[in-house]
Amino acid sequence: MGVDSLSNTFAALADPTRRSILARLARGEATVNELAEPFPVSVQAVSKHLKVLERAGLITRGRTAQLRPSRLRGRPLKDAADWLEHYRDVWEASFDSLDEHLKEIQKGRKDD
Amino acid sequence: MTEPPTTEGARGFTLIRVFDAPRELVWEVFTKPEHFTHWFGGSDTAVPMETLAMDVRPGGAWSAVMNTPDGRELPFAGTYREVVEPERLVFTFDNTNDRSDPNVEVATVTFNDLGDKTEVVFNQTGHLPEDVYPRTREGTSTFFDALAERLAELQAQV
Repeated sequence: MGVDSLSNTFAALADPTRRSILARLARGEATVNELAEPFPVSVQAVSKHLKVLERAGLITRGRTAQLRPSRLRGRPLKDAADWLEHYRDVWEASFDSLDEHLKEIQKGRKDD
Repeated sequence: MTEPPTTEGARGFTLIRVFDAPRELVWEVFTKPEHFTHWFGGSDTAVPMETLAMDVRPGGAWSAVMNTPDGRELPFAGTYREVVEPERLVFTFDNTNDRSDPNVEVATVTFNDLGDKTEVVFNQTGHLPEDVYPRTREGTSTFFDALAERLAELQAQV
């Protein structure tokens, strides 16, 4: 996987509206109007965000007439998750030291 | 700046934009259908003139129909609550599926005179789910982009 596609994925995820759109699409496909509900003032903004998500490959859009429902594409998210997974060991090592530290503190208290 | 009073449990957002036009003109573009049709809905979304009704006085009704990019029609409707030309406009967005729903969205628009420019403070409060407001704020911002274009066109004609 190229670094560029990972950059596109994280750039696309770096926006709360786009994350909320993806969260909605995780429950099933939806049209622009459905995504703008329940207050359709946002319909044009949603439409712009869908273009960004589509370019990043995070969604695909149907070709049927005008409705063009959007659906989630899991692959780039998996690639992003795999990349983050490399750092799990770092976290686990940190949690081990935290665990040790907490034990030390509690031992200290009991000795008081 | 003083925030408009909000009712308990209400949520919302405030959007501030400075427009390069005198206050009287910005007020007109907000309150007259022949201008409103050009910016409400943003530049990619049509709100045809014939669908607009704007009875701009306290208690007067407004309504509009937006044609969305996927070919559907979305109705908007509400009531003007306060009309203080050219300073302050308060109007509602009613629930068009249930006009008796008391949980309307309330937009309070303040027009601050900066001489050749006008600062518009748009505050919306209501009872939509919390995550809807950032999208609504962005939507309103795209409307204001179109509003700025309309103002530029009008001033180029002078």
